[in-house]
Amino acid sequence: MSEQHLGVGYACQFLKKSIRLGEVRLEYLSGGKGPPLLYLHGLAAWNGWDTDHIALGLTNTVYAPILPGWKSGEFPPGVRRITDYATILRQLVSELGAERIDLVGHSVGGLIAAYLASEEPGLVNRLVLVDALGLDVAEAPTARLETLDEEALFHTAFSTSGAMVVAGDFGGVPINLRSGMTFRQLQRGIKSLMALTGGRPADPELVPRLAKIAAPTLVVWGEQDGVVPLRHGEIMAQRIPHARLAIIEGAGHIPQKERGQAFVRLLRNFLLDSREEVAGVRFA
Amino acid sequence: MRIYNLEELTYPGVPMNFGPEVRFTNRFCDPKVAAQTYAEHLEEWALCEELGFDGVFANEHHFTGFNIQPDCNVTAAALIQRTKRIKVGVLGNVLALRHPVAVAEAFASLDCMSNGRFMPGVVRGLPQEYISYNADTFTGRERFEEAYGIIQRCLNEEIFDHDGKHWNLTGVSIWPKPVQKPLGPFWMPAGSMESIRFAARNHIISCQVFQPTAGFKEVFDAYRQVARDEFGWEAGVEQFAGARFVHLAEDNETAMAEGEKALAYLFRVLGRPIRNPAPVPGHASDHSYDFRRDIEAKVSDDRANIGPTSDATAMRATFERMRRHGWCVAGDPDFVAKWLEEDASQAGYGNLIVSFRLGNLSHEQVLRSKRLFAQHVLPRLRKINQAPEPKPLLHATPYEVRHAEERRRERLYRDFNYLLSKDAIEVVDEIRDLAPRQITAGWLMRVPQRHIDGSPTEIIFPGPCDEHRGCAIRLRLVGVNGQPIAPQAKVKLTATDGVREETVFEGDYAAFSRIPDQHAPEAALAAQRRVVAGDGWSIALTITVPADTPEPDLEAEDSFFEVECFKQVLTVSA
Repeated sequence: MSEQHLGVGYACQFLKKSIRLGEVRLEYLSGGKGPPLLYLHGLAAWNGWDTDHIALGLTNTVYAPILPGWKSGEFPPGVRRITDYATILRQLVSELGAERIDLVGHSVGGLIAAYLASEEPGLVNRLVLVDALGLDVAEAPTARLETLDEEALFHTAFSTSGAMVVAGDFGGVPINLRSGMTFRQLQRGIKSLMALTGGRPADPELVPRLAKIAAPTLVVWGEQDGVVPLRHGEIMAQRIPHARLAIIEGAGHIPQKERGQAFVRLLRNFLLDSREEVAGVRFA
Repeated sequence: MRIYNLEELTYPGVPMNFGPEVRFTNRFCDPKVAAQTYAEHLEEWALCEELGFDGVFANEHHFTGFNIQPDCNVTAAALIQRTKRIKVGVLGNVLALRHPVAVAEAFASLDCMSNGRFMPGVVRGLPQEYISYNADTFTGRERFEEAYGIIQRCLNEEIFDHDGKHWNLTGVSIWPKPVQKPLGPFWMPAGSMESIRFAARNHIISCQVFQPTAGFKEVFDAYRQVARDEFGWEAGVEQFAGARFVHLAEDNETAMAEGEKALAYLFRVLGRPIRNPAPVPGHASDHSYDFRRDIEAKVSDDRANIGPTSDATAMRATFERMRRHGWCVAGDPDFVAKWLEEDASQAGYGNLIVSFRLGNLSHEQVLRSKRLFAQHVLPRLRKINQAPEPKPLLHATPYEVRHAEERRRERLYRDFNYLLSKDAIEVVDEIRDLAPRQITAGWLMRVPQRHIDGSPTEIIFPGPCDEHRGCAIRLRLVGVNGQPIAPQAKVKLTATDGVREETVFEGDYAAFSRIPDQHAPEAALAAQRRVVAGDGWSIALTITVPADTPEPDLEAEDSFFEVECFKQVLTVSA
């Protein structure tokens, strides 16, 4: 057989670890095999090792940190602004003994990833920004998340109306996006975001920084993202020197949940330098 | 309706006093208990012939006490030995974990062992089953489809090469051939849209399990529609199979009490050595189950609450919900018959696959349940959803295609393994014989002497037969000074042991020279007789030209010959 050895076995196993970085204690999930990859969560912090972690673990050793203070709202000393996390993560990479990393950031994690990749272009092998926050786009502003009630947040964040059928052992299994852990933690994350951005997640400094990113970059966007509109992705892909924009059809702000299989295939192809097409994804 | 029996072969002796957090490894497996349960199951299966079932199926799962048959071909072989008349099938081989040629070989062997009673089945496998085999889920579906194609070629073609994305194969010609022509129909579980489409394209019988009646119906309806709209055929009831656990007793209360206890055990034994923390990526697509949205919304509340519980009241409620949805049809014979009649009529399946041995039901309970089923339920179910007599499968390629084509004798014999030419080691001399009116030139070759270990060598020139017109002979010669050779020159290929001479070919040079490119397909001349040149034989290729025409220049670059033949060293020593 001519296939690469990419079986799914080892990537299902993971560990939860904790590391002290100066005054900060940082928890992270880790699993998989291959070159190191840092996967930064969005508004909802990681709850466990999910399908997307397994998929990335097939090609990389995945480190999925939980941003210190994000779940509790009690931020450690040294974290006053959202971009301070970039400094902590830089320390994490050093502690892990990695010289270069692949870097994936979702939503607020995308903002932090963009900072890190522009601050230290030599550190990042390949960069993936997923529905990343941070740009100030007058014609397509970021949703004012702090003003939304639960119902409005649900419709802003997802393109699907509630129930989805995903693969189970013996056929389709229904899941309800609204009742999931992710949805509850979105609201927690919004509070942390507001606290660390002074209520304004758009950062005027981000645009000039994007030009400094040296890594080949994949910008991934849910076509119906109501939190950070697609226009942000287009601008990011234009401003980052070696970037391509991939649009996932039928997904909102969290394509990992709504179009999970397309999402993992897309990232896997990027990390393997494969040009294979992915159903439900188009490149701009 | 046709009625089959499949058993999950659940290991019965797992202790109940530990939680799901404990790794479900084989330390819980006592091989003595496994041997006993195999013996009981084989006896229960064998009883099906006497009780009037149409057939029995073996299936497989891996790394779990829920089903301790990791190789259903092994079980099927045993079932074939214990039955004489009914069909025996597998449902089926997990193609991701096996080599497709090995699957085809096993299927063909099982069909021979059963003298044509075998029912082949293929499955994609549960996502978990990929984990400890470390199989690639992302290419799982394309490998499944390619493997199926290879299996069909193995079973239906004499010999083939395969140059695919995942397998490259040369000269595959499996022994034995299956008894059924073609072997089939195939069976497979097809619940996702990709699987439905694949099954409908290949006329594979679609099986469903662990869904309520409406869930079966939705999947079978999707198949019917795809078959009609995309592949232009009407799928009848015989194209669908519904699988149900049943448990019968004389009265409903006994059946339910026994069933409930067995189901609690089943939940325990579903554990695995490695619980994947989230759905495995790559196994399905985002759209695999889109067509099920409606039905899932209707039943999702019930389904969400299906699961193990230590609370007795909750367990009873769970069991009743699962009974309602057909996870376990437990009751007296009348209840079970009515439930299954309704299920089969509504969902529209013409094959019922019943399982009796739920969880840790005892051998005696199963025998009693099975006899009640055969006596009271089976005759009633026979009357519904009857399929028309099976039609021959037109989509499969019969064996005889190649033979029929070649009767026209257009083809040369292709399966040569050796080429005699100017450069061959057999060439020992050039021939030049001047006679008064003619000149004969050519090459003298010698078959090597017997090896030191006694192995003889043969050079075989295959002659024409019904299937081909003989091995290829190519020849072009230029005369001295580049002049053309006379067309009436005589060409001869002979072999001799010094006593008798055998002629492989004899004809005019014109027959060669009129072919512009003798290497074009089928363009060469062919041997006229089969000749076997043994040890020490001489072979001569000669051309005889009239004395007043140009003499052939054997050394010239443009002069060449090729004879496609078969060189065999008969090794007699080890």
